[in-house]
Amino acid sequence: MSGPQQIQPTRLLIAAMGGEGGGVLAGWLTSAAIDAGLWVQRTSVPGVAQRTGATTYYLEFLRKTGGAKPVMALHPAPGRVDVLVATELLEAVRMVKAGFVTPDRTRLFASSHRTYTVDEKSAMEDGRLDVEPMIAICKAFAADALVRDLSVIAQGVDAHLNSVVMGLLAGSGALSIPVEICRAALQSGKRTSEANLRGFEAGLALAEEARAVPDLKGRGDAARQPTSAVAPRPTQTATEETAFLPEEVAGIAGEGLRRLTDYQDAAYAETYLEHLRRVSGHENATPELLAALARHMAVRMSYEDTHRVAELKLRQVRLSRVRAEAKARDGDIVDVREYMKPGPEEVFGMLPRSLGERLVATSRRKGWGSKSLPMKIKTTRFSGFIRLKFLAYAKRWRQKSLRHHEEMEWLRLWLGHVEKALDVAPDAAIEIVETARLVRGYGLTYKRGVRNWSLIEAEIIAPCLDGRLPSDQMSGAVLQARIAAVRDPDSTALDKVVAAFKAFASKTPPQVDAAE
Amino acid sequence: MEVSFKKEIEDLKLGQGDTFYGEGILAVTKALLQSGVAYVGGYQGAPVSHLLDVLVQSEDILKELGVHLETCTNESSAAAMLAASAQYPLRGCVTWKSIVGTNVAADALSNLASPGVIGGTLIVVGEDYGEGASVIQERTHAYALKSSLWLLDPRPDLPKIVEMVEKSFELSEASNTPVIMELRIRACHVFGSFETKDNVAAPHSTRMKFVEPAPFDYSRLAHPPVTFVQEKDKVQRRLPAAREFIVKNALNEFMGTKSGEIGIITQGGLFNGLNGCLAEAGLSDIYGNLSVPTMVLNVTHPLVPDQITEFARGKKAVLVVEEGSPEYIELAVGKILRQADIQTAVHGKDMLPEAGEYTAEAIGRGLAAFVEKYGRSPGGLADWLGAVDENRATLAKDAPEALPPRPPTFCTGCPERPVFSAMKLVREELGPVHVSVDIGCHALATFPPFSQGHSILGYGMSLAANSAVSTTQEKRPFTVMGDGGFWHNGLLTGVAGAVFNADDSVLVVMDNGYSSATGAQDLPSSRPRDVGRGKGLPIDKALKALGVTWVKRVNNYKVSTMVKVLREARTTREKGLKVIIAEGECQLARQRRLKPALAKAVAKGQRVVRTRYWVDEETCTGDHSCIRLSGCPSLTIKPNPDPLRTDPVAHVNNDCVGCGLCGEVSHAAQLCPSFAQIDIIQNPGVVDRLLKSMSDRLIRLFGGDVEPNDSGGVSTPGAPGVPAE
Repeated sequence: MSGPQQIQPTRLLIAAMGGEGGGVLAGWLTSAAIDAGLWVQRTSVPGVAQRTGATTYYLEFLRKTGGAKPVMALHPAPGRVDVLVATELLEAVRMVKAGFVTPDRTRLFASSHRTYTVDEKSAMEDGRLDVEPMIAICKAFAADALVRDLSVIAQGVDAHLNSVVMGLLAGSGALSIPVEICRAALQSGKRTSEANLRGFEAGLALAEEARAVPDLKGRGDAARQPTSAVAPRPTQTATEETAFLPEEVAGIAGEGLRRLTDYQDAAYAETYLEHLRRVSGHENATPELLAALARHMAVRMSYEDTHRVAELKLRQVRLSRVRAEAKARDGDIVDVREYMKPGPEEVFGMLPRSLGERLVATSRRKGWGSKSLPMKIKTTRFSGFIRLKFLAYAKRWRQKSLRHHEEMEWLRLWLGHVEKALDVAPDAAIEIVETARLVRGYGLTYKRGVRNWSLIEAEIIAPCLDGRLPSDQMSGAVLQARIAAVRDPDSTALDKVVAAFKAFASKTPPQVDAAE
Repeated sequence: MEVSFKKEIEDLKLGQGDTFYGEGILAVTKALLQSGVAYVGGYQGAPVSHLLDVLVQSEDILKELGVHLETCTNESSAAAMLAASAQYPLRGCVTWKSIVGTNVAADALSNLASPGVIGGTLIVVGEDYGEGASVIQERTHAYALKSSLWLLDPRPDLPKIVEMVEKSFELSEASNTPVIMELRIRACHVFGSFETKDNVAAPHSTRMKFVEPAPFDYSRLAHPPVTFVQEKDKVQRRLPAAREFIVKNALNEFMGTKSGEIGIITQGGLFNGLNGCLAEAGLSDIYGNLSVPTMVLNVTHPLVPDQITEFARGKKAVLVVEEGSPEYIELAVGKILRQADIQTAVHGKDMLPEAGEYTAEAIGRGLAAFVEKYGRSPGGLADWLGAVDENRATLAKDAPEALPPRPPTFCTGCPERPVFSAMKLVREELGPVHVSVDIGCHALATFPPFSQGHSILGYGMSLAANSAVSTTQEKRPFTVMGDGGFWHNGLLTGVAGAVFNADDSVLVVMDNGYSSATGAQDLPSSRPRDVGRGKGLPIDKALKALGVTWVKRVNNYKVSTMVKVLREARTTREKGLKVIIAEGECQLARQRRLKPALAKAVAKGQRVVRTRYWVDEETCTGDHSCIRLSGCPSLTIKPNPDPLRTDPVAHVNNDCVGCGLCGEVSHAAQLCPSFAQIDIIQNPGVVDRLLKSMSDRLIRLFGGDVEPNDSGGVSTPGAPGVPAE
């Protein structure tokens, strides 16, 4: 006897997340195998992993020959898995990296959809992994990989993903269990369900499709997945007003123009264009810089104050979106109750500048910072609607408000630095533009953003620009600081980077020609 | 207990010649009934929870057979239960998760083992070791050795497991010694089949009671001076009796060829993995036709020296395949052979890993080394391992990036998550404090995004673990304990101790109504329902009776209130123990109960308001503060629809159960105005419709938008591009 010539069982490993129905799927497969007259063994390590953590189920199947009962393994072995099912893309890659997917034998069936890990979700900017390399790894290490968004297929037929997988496995012939028996097993559980059958048929159809179009396997999906690097493209194209800009910038500027007109009025939007026009006239302004500037300036100029929030919350397009997402049926009444809690800065920010400043000062003195007005406003009912309607209407006085004054001060400072950098350190200009993304959000998030931005401005940008610190280091320093600022919410990383830069810069005398 | 075990209960009723299909731990349950047990007890914990769960719901079977079932408050009381078999010819079985449960039971076990038993006594332990384990990694074996308990580690094949359960009672009675059967996680969950027998009613039971108690017999007590006699009895009488029984009943199996230059001695539980590797090496096949002499120890303590010497005699070497550390069996085999002056070399941990689970690969590498050392070619085994290495090298080259881990987390809507959100908010406000953590679902708060906790010292031990900490900290420390831990141990070791010693600290008790981490079993404080044993014992009263004066009960989902109470507990001048009872029913159990009931009501046309939460993608700025304060599985991210922004926005997917935490957190932390509660009034009544249409008319009057028409909601579940988890 020697290994390869021996009778070997078909080994199936299911990688799933707890609570997804992987155990139910393993149960269906077990009873299908019994009905098909196969030897089957199944085991799992549910334990604590049942709570949305990564987990696996392992099954072995063997055709019956005579009465001899096989001895089946309880552990999957790397390089010895014939079929690997992953209900999520990262879990598929995890299995590949654990060595359970090998080119000599493993047929991989993976869903390409992502369930983000807490690490990815909680990143302060975009922590999502790139999907394409993950799909590429799956395909590179499997003998045969079918990587498709099974989640979308399941949702399309209003079924659970595990029933789609069952259909897919049945249709693929990977387990040599007739389709009919698989379908019957699906209905033999504790609960029979129409949804499971729909999912099964959808999975079956996918298996058919994959057989007919082998090229389809694993491909074509990547394009549909959002990737973290590529931003959605603005829908607007160049118009007369934005024609002075390079083509790739004009679209963004057009979107910005539309946004700001909606935000305030045409005159306000015109100031945006004026800034862009001025900067674009600079010889060192690259299209790349202008694109970033057009993007961030539009976002910053449409800062999220109470008026804006109120206005957005009364848009009709929201209502149908809410209905759809809430899966409301015809005839159901859907009520939306907004959680709003403006703090003193937000409330006083709406007031005229001088009054607002006085009240903010009082509030700081009296320690009202943590006080706020918790409200749950039912915008779908008149009582809530009319309150927000008033706030939205009040935007006509926005430009006199304290908040607007502060925002415009910020804009002036930021733009001024960008323009100065174009003169003295053109490579750093785009980095200064990009710092705008730090300032955003509401309440504490906004305060943290302003604090971080001001720190970078005061400790790196301003001293570099006025020659106190070497400006040739500015580009790298600003980039590093910006990345550090979003590494942790306590700004620990940023404070370290800033301190390190100051320590470094104090040893390097500024170059004489830095501000020529 | 909200899980139903209808099918499993039917399986327990199978009779002579029927076939049982199911998981290992349920096979054990059936085997117990076939063995004529008079009582069963234990404490829940993966992977053995189901043994008790199923029996709790099998009242008719238990009644018919006269079996007493005790859902014990901890493993210590479970072990103490076995005293019944020390005095009476009653067969009994208790179960728990090991190593932790055995630790808790150790006191009673020692006192039981000393006088020994008259009735067959079996302790089924779930050996929570290796992948999927949730506890510290130690061996139960040590307890068997030190207390003279016999230890069974059966081959993970259902008929063998069942046979060993039945035999263990006989072994226990033949040697007057309690028997432990250890089953690894994968063995507890292994699905297989066996031919059943009729259930057997015990001669003495809850139906057939003893008329008189046992006569007074001092020698049956674990009390000096008879303890000295008992110590001798263990080794002089019980041990030889056990060995004789093991040999006579062929509990250990000898496989493969009779003679050969090399041999393998393996724990029964590892046999299947070993066989796979032997098959790779050409030394066996899928049917277990071994061509190398192999001794399968279904009984790993006591070893039978004669069996070992006979097996090893004439062989150049034996390999002991034994999982975990220290290598007790290997050491014993070495001693046995040395004393018998047999020169067979003994290998084990010199070739196999000293620590960690014996996966196929781990066994394979050890076996390859062993076979090669004694001049045989490992054949296909070497090819396989070579390919594994090669694949690993390619992976290291082509895909070197580490993947983000996916640890378990609180379920969607879990009532414990808001408590940790609140703790995080207080931490941000007042700075960090020492946090003493316990065992239970709440230990998941040690993972991101909460990442807190300084010690985990055992079940119900968090407060006790805090005692020397609290006096040496400027800032008053926090202690977290579940209701499971509270009743298991925490009330006495923690609360009573803290009051007694006037400790100045804060205890948060999670009152979620069940022992949730182990599968939602009832606790003394569980509310009484149709099924289960909940008695609704109030935690508050228990605390007050022990002299705790500062007790506050808070609804977990009210994050602002929780923040306020936590802040107060940290800053109040009042000395002594301060207890916050954090109340919120386990959402998993709640949904199991509510979901079907609501679906039924909707189908019947009754008015039902369904609530879920929603993130306004237009006002979300993609900072994800909300996720860092919640980590809810249904609060996720999706691509930003705003063409001017790139960071993904927060998004509530359809798993949302409407607990409201995200909204509460955004309020409590003053995060943002992007959260909204959505109430879907299903089957609205006349009043609902009237109010709605009046409101809509007014809104239109003031130039507002309402839904296209009153009933015209379009339902397109799963808009493309939105991954729903």
